Amino acid sequence: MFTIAICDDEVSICSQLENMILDDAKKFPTEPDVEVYSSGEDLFQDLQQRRRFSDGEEAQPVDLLFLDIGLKALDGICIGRKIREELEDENIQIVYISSKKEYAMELFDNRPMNFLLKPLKRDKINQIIEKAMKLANKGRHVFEFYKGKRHFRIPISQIIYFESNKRKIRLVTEKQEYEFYGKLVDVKNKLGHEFITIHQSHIVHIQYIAMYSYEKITLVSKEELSVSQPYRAAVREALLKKKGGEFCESFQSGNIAVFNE
Amino acid sequence: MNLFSPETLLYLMSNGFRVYVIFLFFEALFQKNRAPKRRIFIGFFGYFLLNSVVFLYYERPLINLIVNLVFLFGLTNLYNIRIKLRIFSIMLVCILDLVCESIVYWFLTGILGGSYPTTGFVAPDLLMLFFVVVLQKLLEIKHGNRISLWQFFCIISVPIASIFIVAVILWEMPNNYLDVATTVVILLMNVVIFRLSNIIEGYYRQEYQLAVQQKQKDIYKSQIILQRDVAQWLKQFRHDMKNHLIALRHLVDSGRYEELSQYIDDMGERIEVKGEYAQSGNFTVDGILNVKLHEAKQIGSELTLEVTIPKRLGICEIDLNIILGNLLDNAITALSETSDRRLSVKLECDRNVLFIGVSNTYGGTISERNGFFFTTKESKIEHGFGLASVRSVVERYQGELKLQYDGCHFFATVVLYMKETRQE
Repeated sequence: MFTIAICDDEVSICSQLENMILDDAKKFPTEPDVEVYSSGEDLFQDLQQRRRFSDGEEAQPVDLLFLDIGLKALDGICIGRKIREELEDENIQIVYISSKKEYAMELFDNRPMNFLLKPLKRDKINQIIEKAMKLANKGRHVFEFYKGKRHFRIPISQIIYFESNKRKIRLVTEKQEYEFYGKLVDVKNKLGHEFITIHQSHIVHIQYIAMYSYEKITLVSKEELSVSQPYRAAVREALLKKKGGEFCESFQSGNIAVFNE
Repeated sequence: MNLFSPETLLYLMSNGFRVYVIFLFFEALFQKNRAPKRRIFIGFFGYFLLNSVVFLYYERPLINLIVNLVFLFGLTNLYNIRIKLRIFSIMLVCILDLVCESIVYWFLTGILGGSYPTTGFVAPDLLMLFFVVVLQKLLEIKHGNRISLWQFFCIISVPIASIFIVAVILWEMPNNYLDVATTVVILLMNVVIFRLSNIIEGYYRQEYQLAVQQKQKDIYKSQIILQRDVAQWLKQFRHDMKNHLIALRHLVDSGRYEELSQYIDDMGERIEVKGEYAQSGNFTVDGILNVKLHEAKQIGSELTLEVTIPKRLGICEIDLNIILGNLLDNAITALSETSDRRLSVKLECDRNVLFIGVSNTYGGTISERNGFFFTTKESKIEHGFGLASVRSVVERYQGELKLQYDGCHFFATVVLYMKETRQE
């Protein structure tokens, strides 16, 4: 299940984008559902609804949102902020649609996945959808642990960080915390690249990091965790590898998106 | 003890010189973390007096050593540094002292088989100057500053030559003031030459700064001209809109939808002005990218550009200028030496991390020396220094520069942590 939402007050853009996605729907690993909204308020209300039901799993959460920056009334910046701060949703990938290449700083505070320029290009859209699907997939994996006789399975997408204290591991999610006995090393082995070790006793999910600096990171919850000396270079290297990897690969393979995006 | 005997005077002069060398040593090690000039001068002069008095009146080497250490420690209070660094620096001074004296002693007694008191007195201090100059240059290299090899050799040859002169002229223990005066003059000459060299270096550094600023001004100028062209073009376009609308209306009415579609596409294409590649809104970034990418386009390169950065970045303009300017210059130089010309540039800002990537195809073979890359055909010195500047800027933002290459592609990738205060 993969749900894509489109929100633009220009009907033509909405339908153009919807058609492009549905045309290629079969090419993706999962066939996506597409929902269209013509106003920010409608979108937000629906997102709220879905969130309320997500525990009982009645309505599907939106995985990828194409959001017009220049919406009337509640604009794209505002909606983005409400999603991250009021709904506290870090799992939804936001892609801003814009007609100009200038971006205000506030847009970046909402941690968008990418920007889409008008006129819309099919290649770029498909690229974005594939990447979002990959991320969502990884998020669905679960982390399992035992506490006494009870077996817990927590979806990766909800885990913010792990903290170790003596022999206990503390697992922090959006809603609650869990404690169990174990070694951080073992935890690390069960996790993928979405988690980085910043400290001898901290492993953090990068999706919940709002800000990086050399000596510390700030989580989306505004909590600050320090990056200890031995891990600073490694964290930086991981960032470089992640961002540089895609860049170098696409150049090597001659996969050049023609200039002007 | 006669305070004004030639030996004592000689001792005082050479000790004064030694204190000066220690001052240079601390300068090199601690950079600018010091008390104001007046206090420094008083502090070092006080150290010189105390040290000399102790040496002249108490003839026990062990007490001298301990007292010396204590005084040195007091001296380090003039600098704003942590305890660990203080202890480390004092130890270094003592070791240096010991090493210099030992070298001279060994050379005089071991090799020359005699004792040459004056030389034995003065030479270790000159040797210390030699080592301090070397240290200074090494630290400068570490900070990514250019140093001229030629100038370096000139400077270090002076204390060495002085030792030679002192040894030749002053064979025996001085028993007249002329000998003392000669030695003092030689020591003073060293000080003067050293000071002169620093001043000259300062001028070079200033010149370099000015050159960088000039480059930046040129880029601003071309960006302004470009924007003026854009404004001009838009004015024209708006004026032409009337005609365009008539043509469109005509095509719609006569049902020529194919042509209509083509016409609209053409209009869309023409909205991009020639030579305007980057429109992030960040003046410096747009400026440099437009100029350099245009250069690359002129020699027929295929360009790819992706810029997702806000208008205001937490990195100052000069630094952006140095990083982007140098990386792109290197890329363009490499492109001009191959027939397959492709260039890709990406700037991305995400969660306070700025990513800059420049990849290009290249010709010839790459040779790597000390982390500097050169291809066979280019000017080696220019290329190497460009990267050194980039490295030192990147270090200032606690970032990392990574250079990789395969058979025909070269990749330069950078991540930087941006500063909290945003660029105006």
